[in-house]
Amino acid sequence: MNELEKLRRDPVSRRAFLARAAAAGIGAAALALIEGCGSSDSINQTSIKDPNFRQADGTYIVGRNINEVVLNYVLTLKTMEADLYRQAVNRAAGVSSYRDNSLIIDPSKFQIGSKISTAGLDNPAAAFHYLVQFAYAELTHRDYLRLMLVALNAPLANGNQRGYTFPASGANALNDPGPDLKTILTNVLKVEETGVRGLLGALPFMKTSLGMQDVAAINSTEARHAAALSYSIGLPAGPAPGRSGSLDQLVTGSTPYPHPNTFEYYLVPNTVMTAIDSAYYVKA
Amino acid sequence: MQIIERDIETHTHEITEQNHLREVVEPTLIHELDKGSEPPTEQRNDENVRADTFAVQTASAAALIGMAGVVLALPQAARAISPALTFSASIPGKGDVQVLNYALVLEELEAALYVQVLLRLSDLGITSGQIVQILQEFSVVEADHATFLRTTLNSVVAQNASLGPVVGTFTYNFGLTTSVTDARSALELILMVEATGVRAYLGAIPLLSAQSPYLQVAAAIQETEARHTTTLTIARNVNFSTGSDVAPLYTERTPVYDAPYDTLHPNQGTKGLDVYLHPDTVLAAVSPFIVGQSS
Repeated sequence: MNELEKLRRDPVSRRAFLARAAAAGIGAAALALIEGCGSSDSINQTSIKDPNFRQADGTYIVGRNINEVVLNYVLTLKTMEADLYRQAVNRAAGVSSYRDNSLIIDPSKFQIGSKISTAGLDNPAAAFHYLVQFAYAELTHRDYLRLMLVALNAPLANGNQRGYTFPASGANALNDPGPDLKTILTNVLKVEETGVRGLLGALPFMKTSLGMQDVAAINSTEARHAAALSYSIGLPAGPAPGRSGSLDQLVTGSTPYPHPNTFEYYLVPNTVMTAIDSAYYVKA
Repeated sequence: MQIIERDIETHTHEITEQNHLREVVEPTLIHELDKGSEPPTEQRNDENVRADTFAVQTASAAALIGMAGVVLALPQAARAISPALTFSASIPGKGDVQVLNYALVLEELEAALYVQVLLRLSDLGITSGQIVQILQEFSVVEADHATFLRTTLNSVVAQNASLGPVVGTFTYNFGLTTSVTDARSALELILMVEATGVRAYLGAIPLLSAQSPYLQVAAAIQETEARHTTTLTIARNVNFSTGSDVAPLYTERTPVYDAPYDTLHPNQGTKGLDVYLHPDTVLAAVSPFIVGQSS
């Protein structure tokens, strides 16, 4: 057994190693190193099957306990969001192969595509700037969750292996994040609002504090993203009912909110899984 | 309730903005306020009557959400309480009740600040219709948060007195006649308070009981505050060319997720994550605005 394999098998040593690597700024590289060695069956990967986290294809979000399931549920959403943002930014920058190209390393190099209309936006430069910034933030959320789960020796959710796509809507073609910047932002906002609601709906399932603050911190940023995108396209900050469909739940139960924007809304995980599978998952 | 005579005279020209706020105030609050307000005793034109009613309503809205001591123009001698509030020594209650009391202190402070700024729009030179609208909308939400928390706490403690008491109300001095005297500084102050609220809720999560029934609503409030913070940041950028980031940025520094929550870890706030602050840090930040306890 080599040293890397020993490291992968020992959760205490692995966690310490990753923490040191992260502090040195090479967390993602360290994660890749550990993930690439050893065999998956050398680690106990038995997952519970929580009925509240059932995916549309009948499988369950992985995790050995409910907290890990929630973290993997969040990872599932983040993996999807990160990819959709990638497509949206590439599209807004006029990249022809926007669905295939990775994000370039330097976000400051992105500019609004010369043929991308910015009609209907008061400040397209700021809006595009938000889109780029948030795309990289979503990537780091995804990587942060993966880092955490690996350090916990937890199984990792793989997301939809066929990829993700924007749905057709009105004049917007299937797969296209949008033919103009305002449409792109509108479509990305819907993804963000679904994410905000999804994470809020998952929080109560966590039985211990492990990872709870992280989920809340991620969701706080998601809410900020939603507010910025809303501002950019001329909408109020929210929360506002119905922005990700018609199934919003109230945190006050059956008691209506005093005003529609008093509290955030939530969606239960199964509702989210069904919705994103239908709207954003590439099918066979 | 207090009728703010000075503001009746000086804010009559702000009727358009203030009427909007009046129209969005909770109808039940308006009903209660009308029952308690003193009628004008002198002949006034319509604008003065509306201003009078608005001032009464706003001050009384403050009273009804538990801020009976809200005063718009404190004497210069009003000083912040000392020592600063701390979670263990100053926030009453046990378990989740103590955490909710902590949230209530912050929400009532926020709500009071919005009320006071909205009543001083002219003095502060806040003329941007966009900013006024944002402040009006957010003021209503913050009042809702405070009302919800106090109502919830009253109910919980009524059922189990050993968990209480419910925290009393405070009086505030935000320096709106001394150090905060223009639109930008007023916006900065509100933004600071909202941003502190965002971080405060995140820092309080570990204090809640396992599977707390209040976790989701606390997070739901927190996310609203996060939306407010970003919108206010954008408004500041637009109106004052500040160019601030509107959400936590990605960076190459990775948070050490197993760091204790009660320190502002140097890696927090990176990797796109909102920062969380220990309650004592939060209370130290807001105590300068608290000049006394009225109940």
